[in-house]
Amino acid sequence: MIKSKRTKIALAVVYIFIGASFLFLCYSVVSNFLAEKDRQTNLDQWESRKQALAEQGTIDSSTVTTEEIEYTEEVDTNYDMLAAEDFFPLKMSIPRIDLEWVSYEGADSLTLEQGPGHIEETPLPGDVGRCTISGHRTTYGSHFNRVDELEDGDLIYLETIGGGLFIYAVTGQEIVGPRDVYILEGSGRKELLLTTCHPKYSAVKRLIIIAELLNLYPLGLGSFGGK
Amino acid sequence: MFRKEKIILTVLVVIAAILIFYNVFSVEVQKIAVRKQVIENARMEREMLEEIRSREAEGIAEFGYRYQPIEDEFIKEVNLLSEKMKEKLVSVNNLSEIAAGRLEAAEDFRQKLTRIGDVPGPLEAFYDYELEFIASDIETMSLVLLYYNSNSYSTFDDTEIEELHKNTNLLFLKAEEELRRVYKQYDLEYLLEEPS
Repeated sequence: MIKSKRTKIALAVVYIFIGASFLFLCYSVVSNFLAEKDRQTNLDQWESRKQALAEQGTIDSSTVTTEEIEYTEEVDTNYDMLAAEDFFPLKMSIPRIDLEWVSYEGADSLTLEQGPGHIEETPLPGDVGRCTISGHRTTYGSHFNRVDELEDGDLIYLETIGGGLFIYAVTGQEIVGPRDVYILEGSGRKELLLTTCHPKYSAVKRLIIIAELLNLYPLGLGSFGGK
Repeated sequence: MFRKEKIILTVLVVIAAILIFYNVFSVEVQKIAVRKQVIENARMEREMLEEIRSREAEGIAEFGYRYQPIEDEFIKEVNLLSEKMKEKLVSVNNLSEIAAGRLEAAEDFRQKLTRIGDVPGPLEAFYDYELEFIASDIETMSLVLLYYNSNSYSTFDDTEIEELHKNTNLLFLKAEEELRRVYKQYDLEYLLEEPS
């Protein structure tokens, strides 16, 4: 059977489309796989570093170690004496949406390729004001892909390498324009903001998750442990 | 000296000697009798005290048998809830639920404690401390629950919670110390051992 020139061209176009679709599919799968691998590597490295510091017993005195999961007291840390390096990289986890990332200082594009990043101009975790962490919604591992599922009261854990722990409880969500920087302004509370693109696959707006620092009160009593 | 006078003098001396001897003898006999009486009284007193003590010890032990399982159950519940707090919880609601469970456990303990009744005299101080402790614990947990339901986590004034918590700990330790002291005094320390 002799194919006409037209048919040949049509077939070629179809094959090109099929090939391109396959490549797109592969790219998506491969990039997600690589991002997941990076995420896991970063988490493993963070855990090993934390363990090494704990084993040495030589945690830097400036490293924030004021809080423990058993009883998080209001942070008495003198923030004038502390720098971002005392907190970051930290491990962020949100059990509600199975999120676990290592978060870094800085929110430039290179940092955000590794994981969520703390906007340098905003307060440090635990301090008064709105400590803000930014993350990708759909690319580079999609750090904050599911943050829109968070509800009031959901808990966000920030763990420092020195064993410090900050627990925040979600208090609200807002969708703002990219120029609405007023949202970063403090309100006298100790808050955490997670910011990401909105809607998915678009950067037209910003989705903001607002959370407030929470104290964990001990339920046991001094000598109960020995009983 | 005449012979007659000599005899009289001798008789007088003998009488005097007999009187002195009698006096010394009777005093000594009396002393022995008194000593015997004292020993006998002491023995009776000891027996009476032992009887009272054993009656008290019996009362304390009876109280202990009723009190210990209640306390063990409360502590087990508290430890269980404390362990839950160490997990990475999903939401403040989980914390509220745990705190509410803790409050319920404390209220249940108080109810059972007041139902024991017939507190033996030596344990009255302990019982008062224990009631004070559990009242303070209930107050603390009520405030903790209020905090988790407040929605103003970082601006909530929690100085009262901290003070109450410290006070609760002190009262608990005080009650425990008093219980140990009484058990030790009545050789009932085995009541503090956990059943195998």
